[in-house]
Amino acid sequence: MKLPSALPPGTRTFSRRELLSLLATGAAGAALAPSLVSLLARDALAQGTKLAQKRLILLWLEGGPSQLETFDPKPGTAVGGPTKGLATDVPGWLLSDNLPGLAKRAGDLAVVRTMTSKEGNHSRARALVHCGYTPNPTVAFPSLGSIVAHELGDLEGELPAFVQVNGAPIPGGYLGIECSPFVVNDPTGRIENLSYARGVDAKRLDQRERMVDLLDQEFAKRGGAPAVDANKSERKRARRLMDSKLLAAFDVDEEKEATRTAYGPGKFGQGVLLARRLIERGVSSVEVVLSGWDTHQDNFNRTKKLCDELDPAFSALIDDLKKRSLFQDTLIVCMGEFGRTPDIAGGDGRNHWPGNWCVALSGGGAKGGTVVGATDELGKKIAERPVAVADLFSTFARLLRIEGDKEFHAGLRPIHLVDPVGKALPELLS
Amino acid sequence: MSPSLMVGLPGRAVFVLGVAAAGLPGQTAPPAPQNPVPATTTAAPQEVAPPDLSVAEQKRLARKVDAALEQAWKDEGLAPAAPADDATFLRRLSLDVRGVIPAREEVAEFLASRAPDKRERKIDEILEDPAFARQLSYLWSRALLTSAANGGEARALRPYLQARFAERAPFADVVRSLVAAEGRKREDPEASFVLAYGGQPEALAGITARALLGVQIQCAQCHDHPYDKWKQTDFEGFQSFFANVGRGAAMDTMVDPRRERFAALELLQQGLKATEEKEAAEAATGDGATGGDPKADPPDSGPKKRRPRRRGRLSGDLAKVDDPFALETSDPDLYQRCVSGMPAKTKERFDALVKRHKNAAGPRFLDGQPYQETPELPRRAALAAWIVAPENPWFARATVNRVWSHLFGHGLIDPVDDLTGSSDVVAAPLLHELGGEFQAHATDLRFLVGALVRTRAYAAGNAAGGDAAARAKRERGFAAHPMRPLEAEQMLHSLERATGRGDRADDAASPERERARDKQLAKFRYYFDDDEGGAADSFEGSLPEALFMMNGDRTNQLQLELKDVLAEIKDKDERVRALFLATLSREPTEAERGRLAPFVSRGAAKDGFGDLLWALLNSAEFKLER
Repeated sequence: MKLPSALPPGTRTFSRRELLSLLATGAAGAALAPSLVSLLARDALAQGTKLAQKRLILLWLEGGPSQLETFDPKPGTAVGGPTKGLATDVPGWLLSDNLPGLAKRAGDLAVVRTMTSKEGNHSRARALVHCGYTPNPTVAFPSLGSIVAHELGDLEGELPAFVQVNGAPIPGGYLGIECSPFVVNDPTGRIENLSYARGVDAKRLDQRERMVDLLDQEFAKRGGAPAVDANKSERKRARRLMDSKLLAAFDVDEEKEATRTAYGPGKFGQGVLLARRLIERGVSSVEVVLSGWDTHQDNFNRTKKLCDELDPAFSALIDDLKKRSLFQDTLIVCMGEFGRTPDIAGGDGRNHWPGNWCVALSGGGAKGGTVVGATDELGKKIAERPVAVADLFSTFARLLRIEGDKEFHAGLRPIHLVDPVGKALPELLS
Repeated sequence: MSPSLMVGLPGRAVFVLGVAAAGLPGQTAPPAPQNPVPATTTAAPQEVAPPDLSVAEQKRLARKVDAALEQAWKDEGLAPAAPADDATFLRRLSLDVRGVIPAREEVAEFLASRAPDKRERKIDEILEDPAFARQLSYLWSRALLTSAANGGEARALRPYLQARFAERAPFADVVRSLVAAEGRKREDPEASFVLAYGGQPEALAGITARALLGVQIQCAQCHDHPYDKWKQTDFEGFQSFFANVGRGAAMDTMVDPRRERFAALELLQQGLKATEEKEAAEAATGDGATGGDPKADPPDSGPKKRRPRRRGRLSGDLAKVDDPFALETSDPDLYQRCVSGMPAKTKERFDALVKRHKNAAGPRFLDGQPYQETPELPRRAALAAWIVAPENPWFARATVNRVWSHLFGHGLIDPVDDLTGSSDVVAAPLLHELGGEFQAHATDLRFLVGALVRTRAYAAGNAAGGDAAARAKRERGFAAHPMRPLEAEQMLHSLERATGRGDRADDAASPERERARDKQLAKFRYYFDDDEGGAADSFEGSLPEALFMMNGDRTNQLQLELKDVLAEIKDKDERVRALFLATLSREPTEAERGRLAPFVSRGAAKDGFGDLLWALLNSAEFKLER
């Protein structure tokens, strides 16, 4: 019941798990099962009945980006520093002059300026903002990327359902190891362990695998059958990826020079370009990490440099997705674990500040030209509309058409996919 | 390490009972307000005869376990599996106790030995291996650390545990050190556990109860537990023990209630004054409006007269307030007047103070015993003593159950950390008995493991044949030994050993190598770990794992082990045998020899045998423990 994997983007495919659960719950029973499978498969393939499938590209700014140098500048005030404001085409809305490309695209941008949390420690805040729940030592929460892979991705596909470019992965948690991210450390280089080892070609690998099969057959006879089955399917999946024509998705060299330049030459820019390529080929969830935002020293220069990577990549992604008619179904989320202190510390630095910080969204049905919430004159307090991380996740769920109140059992307790205390932001839902 | 804790650190020769055990009130409950643990930490340690930790004593306990399980098998109608063969037993023992497969030479020697007591002697030998301490440190840092921990502190915990286990510290002492530790970030490794959750009393309460007591009170954090007995007040009382663990430092000194009360009153006073000033200003402008919209904070930069800081003088109404933390309910009008004009920053500080006061209020042990804070017995020291006391209803059982589960693949109670809520229990009285034995034998983990690996159940073979359900039932009842995927740590060490890099001669005692390994482990966890989410006996692996095993350097480069085998051994059959011993820790079967022979004869020896080694490492059997 394997479905062809090179489906056009936007086609709804059914994972093995979904099919099995459909079969298990359906009144059809065993006798009708095969016809149900083929029916579903045909349905999934039929262009006419396809459901618009959403995807996620998460631009993760590791370290806690300064809101004052990005999406909530306070130029000319005691806290503003040298950063200037840049008018956008949305009246009255300023972005920092570090983001000229995004300022021009503000009509496609939705920014929440009043995110607030209590987590000022990197690892805990990273977990909170990735997973949408306050970290709890007794539950292994999956991150947003894993949630999207599980709910919208093809976990049996040729390409991994969730790819992460750079950064440390957060495992799939209670959703299982198959929802963990597949990590690419260098978008322009070799992917770790993906190509044949030196001196090993397909023929030799076939031969080696025959030896494994032989060992495994013997072991299955001695009671190891469940492990042997898992071992076989795991290797098959790996081999399928190694030999996949879709692997070209990982090769950003195929892109035109102008496109590559537009995204920016660095690992991040090329990673975002890679994200676009992967989305086009059916990957449902990609996270691209840009590190270095923890600017306790020299905040202004360092943040500007990082913005010089972020701004062109984010801008090019918006343009590119629009050009390819993928914009409506691809949600771009840009965020980090917290903001930075309005007061400027010694050494021109800014310290951790979870009290108010920013998240930017684009595409995926998020209403462009929207700004949610406002901070006070000196950016130290939320003047209107505080937004909790749970609210943000409810918004993601609505935009991505994920059932946030689906219940899972993580160890001993029932857990909702998305924290039920959150309320989606109506301003962002178009 | 604080001096008070030194008391509880016995050397190997003389067992010294520390504060927890010395002079404890026995089973008869003490009068209510009295602490369940003595109020002094400086009591002279009492010397008693060291407990018998001998092999003979371990065997006595093993026979007791045998009898209990044999009864359980009879009751459940389970047929015990035939004993595992020597090769399986050695690999299992080595993986469980040392965290690594046995070396090729060790397997050959063990299989060749005709000594009738060779298993007993191997157990003695492996229990003395320094890698045992490392394996225990993995087991407990897995239990104590989660993704909610602060990274920096978390990293320091495992090496600390290994050092303590290497000196054979009784487990009760290790736990006491961890729970009662005082110290600062990155300075005191023993404080790494509490600081890993610094500033989060609720997380510390949840993880301490779960990992060290095997009870799931965290569900009662927000509401009474749905099916267990825990109430929200239990959680609150327990979490109060951790109120003094900050983000940067864990101090267990007492909070002075008079100073706290005064600090709160002073903030209320500031608020009251601001409200009055605001009212006066409004009256002066003829506005006439009184009181205030509680939402309207005056700007911080308001009338910028420096308030005279007069400590110790409170204005009329407030001077009469006894408990400022209860003002909101005891005198709502006055409270409103105080907070309505209170500047936002002051209000934040006041709220934080109230929250801390609430958090810190009324520590209660989970068995309902109250605790009276005294300077001599600060709260976490008291908690630590209560946890490890022989009278504690959970600690010993929780510890035994976790160790049991590590060795047998299932706990006597499953899930391993739900002693009070789970009904999945095997041989119910056995865990109680083992808990008592564990306490009576100085909470010595080596004794416990030594006893359990000498049981009949530990030496049982796998449940070959039968359908999955029947098999699962036998495994659950410990009538047959389950197959389990290797943990990331076991995989790292075993791959190192099988490919011959690193620890042929075990170097578990080298801190430099251990540090390097901890870094590598992060990667291995990404490859191999199912984290807490998946079922423990699921063999489903990840795509990165498969790619690593198939294409990674570790399985493809010309390994030292292979070089040695090719240099030492010329006979093809013997070479095949050596690689089986190095990876699967057993002899190849006739069928395997015959079917693999044509493959290894092709091409150069290093290629043919390189392919065989690769295939062995990629086989299902290598990736699991059985």
